[in-house]
Amino acid sequence: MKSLHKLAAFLLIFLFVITSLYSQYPESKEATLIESVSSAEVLIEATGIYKSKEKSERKARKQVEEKGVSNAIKDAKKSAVYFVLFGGTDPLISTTEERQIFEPHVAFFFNTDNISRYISWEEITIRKKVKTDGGKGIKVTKRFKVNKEILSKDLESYNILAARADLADAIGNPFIMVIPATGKGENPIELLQTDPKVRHAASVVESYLTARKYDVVVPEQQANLEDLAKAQQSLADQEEDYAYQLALSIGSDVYITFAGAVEKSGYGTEKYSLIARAYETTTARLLGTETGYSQARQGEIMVSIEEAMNDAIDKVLSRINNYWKDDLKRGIQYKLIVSITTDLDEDEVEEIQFAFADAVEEISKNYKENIVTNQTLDYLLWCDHDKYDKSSKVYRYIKKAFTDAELGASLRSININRKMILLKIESE
Amino acid sequence: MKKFMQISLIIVLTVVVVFPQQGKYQRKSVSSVESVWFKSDALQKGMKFDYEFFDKMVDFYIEVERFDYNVLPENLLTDFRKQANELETITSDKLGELLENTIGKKILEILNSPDVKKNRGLMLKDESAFQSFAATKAKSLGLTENELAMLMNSAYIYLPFITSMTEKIDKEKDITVTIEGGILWYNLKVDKNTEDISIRKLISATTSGIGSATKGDKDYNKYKFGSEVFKTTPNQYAQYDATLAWAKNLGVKTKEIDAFKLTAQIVEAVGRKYSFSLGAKEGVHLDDGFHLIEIEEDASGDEISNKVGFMRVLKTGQNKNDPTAYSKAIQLLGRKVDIGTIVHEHPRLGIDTRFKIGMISGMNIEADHTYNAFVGGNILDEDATSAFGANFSFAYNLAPIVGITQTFLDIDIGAGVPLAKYNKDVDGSAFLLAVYTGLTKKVWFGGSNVGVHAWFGYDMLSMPFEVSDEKYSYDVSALGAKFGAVYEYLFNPDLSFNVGLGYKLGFAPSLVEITDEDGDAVWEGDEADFEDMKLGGITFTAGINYSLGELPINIFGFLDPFKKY
Repeated sequence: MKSLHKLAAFLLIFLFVITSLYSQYPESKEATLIESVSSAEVLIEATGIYKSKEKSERKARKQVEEKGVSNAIKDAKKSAVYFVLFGGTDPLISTTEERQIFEPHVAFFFNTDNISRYISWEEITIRKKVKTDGGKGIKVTKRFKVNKEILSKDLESYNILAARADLADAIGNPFIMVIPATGKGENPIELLQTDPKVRHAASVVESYLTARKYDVVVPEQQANLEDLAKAQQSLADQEEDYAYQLALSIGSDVYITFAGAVEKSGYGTEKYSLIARAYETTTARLLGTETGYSQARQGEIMVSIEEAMNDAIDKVLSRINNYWKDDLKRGIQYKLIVSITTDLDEDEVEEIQFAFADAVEEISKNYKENIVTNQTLDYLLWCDHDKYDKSSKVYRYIKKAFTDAELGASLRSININRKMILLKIESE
Repeated sequence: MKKFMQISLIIVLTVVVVFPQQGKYQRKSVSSVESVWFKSDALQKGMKFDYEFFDKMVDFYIEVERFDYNVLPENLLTDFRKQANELETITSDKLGELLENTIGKKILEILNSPDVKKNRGLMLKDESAFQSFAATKAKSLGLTENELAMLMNSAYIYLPFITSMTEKIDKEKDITVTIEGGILWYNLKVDKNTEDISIRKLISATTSGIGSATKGDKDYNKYKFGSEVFKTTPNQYAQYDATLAWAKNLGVKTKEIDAFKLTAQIVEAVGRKYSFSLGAKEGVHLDDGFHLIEIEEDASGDEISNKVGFMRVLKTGQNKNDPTAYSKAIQLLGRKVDIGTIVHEHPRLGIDTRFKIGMISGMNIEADHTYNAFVGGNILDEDATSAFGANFSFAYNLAPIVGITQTFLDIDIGAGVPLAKYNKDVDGSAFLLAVYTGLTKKVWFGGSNVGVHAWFGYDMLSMPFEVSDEKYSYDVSALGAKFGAVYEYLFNPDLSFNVGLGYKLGFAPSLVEITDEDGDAVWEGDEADFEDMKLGGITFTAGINYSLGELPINIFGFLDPFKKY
């Protein structure tokens, strides 16, 4: 048995040494994101390094002269792909677990053929070429377009990333609402209808997300928020948050708000900056915020808006995905709000509160009690997606549990959508 | 105009501003504020300056393809001239201030015009700009701040000046005109926030041009420049010749300014042949030379640029309509380089000068051939079968005209002495003179080449003597043809060493005469007396070849407008 352990340890060390020696990772790993060109592609400026291993200085220089540039370019391509995988604020592979699953497949992702598949465009000219180490090494900087979509699909096929299709099968694609950020008292829908720039920015996000197969909604009309407002009437100090209320009433999983500003730049040009914020609908928890910038240019404001939005949304989307993957592990999330009539006495209300707490505990894998007052109950539930993949199933269960408890009050639904279950309890 | 003298005194030649171009040449907007400025007493009394021809030469040699030329309104130019003449003292800085106040704003207006932006905007964009979101999805090619910065700071103003123009007439007929002067270059800077303009001097370059003509000679009644013919007097002819040489020199000096040097990146490399993205649109011609530049990190991490080689254009990219038509070049000096290496123009006149010394063997100059009754006998005491001499030649590169690389039109002047014993009893001497012209074609092998030439011309056995203090020359002339091969080894882009072997076919003498000091024949002899004289033979030469960047005289300048390859 002891010798088996020794053998296993030896094999592990051997594998580690071999992997290190023949690592397919780039030498340089130096890259910068220039621009999100489209929903699938990013423009990256990457530096590749080649250093001759020849001991003789003359031979090393000769080797660099002969194949330094081509090898450094290969390394730059790898660096560009490496950046998309691991670099920047929102890499495709973001968790330690994903990294561990990735490690055995390094050779696949960084082999020349696959690198060529991921690189959809390579600049003909070189940005910078510098010889190093007295001519025994070379650094080359070039721009590449990397197709994140192909890369993501490969990561999914190796089960490194959970496939969006799998997520969709499990709980449906995240449903995202997009709305402009507004000041207090301002109506975002009105803003959408009256300001063409805001409308354009919203449609850019819509287009970007639908291209990536997300369900998106840009609310066209003022949703009926009265019920929600009534249900939350006890929360007198809650700030008026149109976006949150709209998202809840629409039933999106996540909502994105955006706000833009024009900044004057040199030579009469204008630069557009756009802040995109993603929130979890049920709690209004901020998932991520990013600012995108356009190039400073003369006129063409719509182009600048689109450019800035592309920049911002690409980064924010990665936060949404991370959130979505985490949340999936906990189950499907629902917000349950119950409005209790004032006709009931305190004991009756307490009974109701206990009954709800029991029902919620039974139905959910996990839950969070947000508010429990005499008039309002507010819960967050994470339910098993095999049993409770629809909000109506949750409602049905709670209704049954409530009826079975015979509390002398009746439970009715006010509004049920895919994320929120809004109920009221009235005396019989 | 006298103020101008002050300008020229203040200006220092060596001020050069280096603009990093990172392997991409950005076109420059160029404006001229004055045809030419004169120092008040620059023109010799009685001389008239031909502005029209001068402007033509400046247009041709200075306003070259790499520039976009801006036409400034005449009223602004008048303002500038008037105010300049009102200045008590003129310095290049004061002139810069005046340019700011008078024409700076107009140039800014030109740069801001939609047409200029449209036409130059595309050229300012690099390849990756076409891959950006704005150019792919939004289909926008509007100029960004960085591109506008390049455009707004790419305007230059130039001012040619003449410090002196003199005419000298020898023997009442040989006219020599000398022009001394130069050019001032200013760069217009536009503040990115306020769009305020400042103009600063970039460089001042000086040169000279010399032209000559002979009164009474019909050849000087018209001056040819390309297909154009100008009716001239001999005085005008000399002035035109000097103007051409002067403007051509300034053209090279302008191209030598770092900001104006064509630069690009090697985008294809096959062996020692490279492609780069410059071509006819930027004025690249066959056989133009480019340095190869590589950036290297030194021990302290600083980046330094090194000249690592030199190449010559083999094929000019016809990129006027097709921007992907690259020029191709072959490396002549340095170790092989790869893509991404920067090429940097090495402007030259396109004229080489060669100096060679050598021997000719197999000729036949008998002692009797040197008999001169005026000196009382034969100059040579024995027959000469060989001679030692030196040759000086100019070689004009025809490649941009004929489309064949390294093809030269040569003009060669030689002088030598027969290698034989001289008759000590007579007071005379014998020289060999030769003038030849013809073609040379060079074939390169890395840094060396073999050139074959075929020339024709005439040789002369010249025997000067004096009678009653009057100088005469007893000359025997014969037509000849030269064929040969020269091996050349390039030391640097401009200088090469050569050795040659050739054969000169010397025909029987066709003219025997005695000429006076003015070259007029005073006596003609019988060629039959010299029918066995032979001035040809096998030649051995060794010498150097230098590619000129400046030449005060005009050689084959009339061919320049024919350059098209």
